[in-house]
Amino acid sequence: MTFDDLTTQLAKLTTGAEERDGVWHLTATPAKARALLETVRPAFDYPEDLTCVDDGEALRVLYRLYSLAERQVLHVHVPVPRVGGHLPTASDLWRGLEWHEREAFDLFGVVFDGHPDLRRILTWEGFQGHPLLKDFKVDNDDSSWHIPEQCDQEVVDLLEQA
Amino acid sequence: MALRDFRIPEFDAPPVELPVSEVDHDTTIVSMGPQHPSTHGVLRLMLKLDGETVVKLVPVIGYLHRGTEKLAESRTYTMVIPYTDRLDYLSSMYMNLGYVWAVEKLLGVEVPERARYLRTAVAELQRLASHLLWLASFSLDLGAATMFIYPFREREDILDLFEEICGARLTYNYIRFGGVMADVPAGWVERVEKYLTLQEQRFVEYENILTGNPVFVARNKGVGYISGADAINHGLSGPTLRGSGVDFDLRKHDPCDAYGDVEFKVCTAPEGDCFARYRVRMDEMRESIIIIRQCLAKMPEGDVLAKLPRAIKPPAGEAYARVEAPRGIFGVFVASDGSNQPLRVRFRSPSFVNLSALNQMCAGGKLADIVAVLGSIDIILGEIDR
Repeated sequence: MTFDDLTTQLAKLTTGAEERDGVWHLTATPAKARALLETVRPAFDYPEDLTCVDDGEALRVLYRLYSLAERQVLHVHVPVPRVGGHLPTASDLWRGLEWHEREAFDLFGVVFDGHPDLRRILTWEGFQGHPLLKDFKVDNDDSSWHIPEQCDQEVVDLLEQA
Repeated sequence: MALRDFRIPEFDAPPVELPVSEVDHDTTIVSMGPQHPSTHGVLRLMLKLDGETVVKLVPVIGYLHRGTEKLAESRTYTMVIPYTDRLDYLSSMYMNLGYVWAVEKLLGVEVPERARYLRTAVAELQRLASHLLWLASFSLDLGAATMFIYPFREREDILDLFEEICGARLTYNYIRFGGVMADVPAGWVERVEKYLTLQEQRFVEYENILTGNPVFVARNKGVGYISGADAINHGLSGPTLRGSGVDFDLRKHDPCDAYGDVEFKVCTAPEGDCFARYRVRMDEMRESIIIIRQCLAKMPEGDVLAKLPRAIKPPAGEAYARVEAPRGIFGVFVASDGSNQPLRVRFRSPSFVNLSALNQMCAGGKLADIVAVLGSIDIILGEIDR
C-alpha cells in the first residue's frame, strides 16, 4: 500500500493529506473521524498513541497508528472545539486506546462518546477543570486541589456492577 | 479435614478442577494498595473477588502524577531533560534519549559518530540495570529472597560506571541535544568490559536458581496469559509483547543512534505467560552485552557534542520520537511554536499501556497470581503517572 492508494481510497473522508519524514498525516472532521478510523483499522493494527495538542486557540486530537507488517506510521489529526469537544470513541477498534482516551478526557476535556469507562485517570474523582488546556489556572493555594478523603466511589460502583 | 497434597504437579499437567462451593458464593471488593509492597510504588488495584478468584480488577493510578507535561510547557527545552529522568527512574537514559531525539528531529542536528555509539552503549547498560532490578523485585514478589540480593549486587557495578561518566547514579541528565554531556573518563571502556565478563558468569548463577526451580516455574507457567493478537490490539510493547510471540522491537523497526549498525537478535517467546516474559528478559540481557561490546569496539575517537547555540529555539513544527525502553515503547511528541519553550510535550509511556491490559491477564485467575503478573509486566509508576 502506498500513500497515494490510501489517500485515493479515503478522498471523501479527509480534509487534508500529507507525507512528511516518512510519516503519513491525514486530517478529518469530527463527524467523519470514526469512518476514517474504521477504514484504516485493518491495515494499521497497532494503536501506538493518542494525544491532544492545544495551542490556546485550537485543539486537535492526534491518533498515532502503526502497521506492524508495513512498518508505516499514520497520524490522524482531528480538530475539535476547545470546550465541550465530542468524538466517537475508537476504543472498540483498538482496545489500547481506551486509557489514552480517558487521559485525553481528563487532561483536555474531550468527551469520547460510547467509551465503556470514561472516568478521570491521572487526576482524582471530583477534580475541576482540564489541566493541560492552555487557559487552565495553575494556583497552588486553590483549596479545590486538596484531594478529598472519599474519591473512589466511582470505582466501587463499577466493581459492584461487574 | 482432608490433608492437602503439597506435591508439585507436572508443569504441563492440566489444572485440577476443584469443586466450587455452592453455599457461600458472595463476592468481596478489596483494595490492594496504594501502599502494598508488591504494587511497586503507589499503584492501587481495586479487586472484585469470588473467594480467591479474581472477577474483575480495576487499576487506580495517578498517585504519583506530577504534571510533567504541564511543567514542560513553562520551561526551556534544555530544562525539560532532568524532568524526563524522573519519569521512568530505573531507565533514565532512555527517557533522556527519547526526549532529546524528538527535539533533535525538530532542530535537524547531526550527532557526532562517537556520541552515537556512546549513547547506544549507555542505553544498553541501562537496559541491563533495569532488567536486573526487575529480576530482583520479581523474584522477591514470588518469595525468592536470595535472588533479590544477587542482581542488585551486579546492578551496583553499572551504577558505579554511570556515576563515573555523569556523576549521578539514577537521574543522569547525560544525553543532551547533539550528543552527550561529556566523554567517558580514561579506563572506562576497560572497566565496562570487566563488568560484562563478570555479568556473563552471573547469568549462569541466576538461571541455576530460578529457571529450573519447581516453585518458580509453577508460579509462572500458564499464569497471566495474553495472546499475541490481544497484545497487539491492546498496544502492549516491550518484553510483555514479545513474550506473546510478536516480533516487534523498535531497535529494529525504527533504530535510533547506532542501533542500525550493530548486530543482535530480537528475543521472543510464544507462550504469552509470565514465564515467557521472564524468558524474554533473560535472553535480552545477554543480547545487551553483545550490543555493548560491538558499540565500544566500533566507537571512533572524536567530539561527543555537536555545536549548538546556548538558547535552543527549534523552528515551529512537531516531531515524534520513540525508543525501545526496557519496558516497551517510550514515545515523545514535541510541538514547537518557534519560541524557547515547547508548545506541547507528550510522553507515551510503555507501562501505562501495559498496565491497562492487567485485567485481561488476571481475571479468572487467583488473587496470589496478580503479584506474579504485575511483576512480570514490570511497571514503573513514575512514568505511568508522569
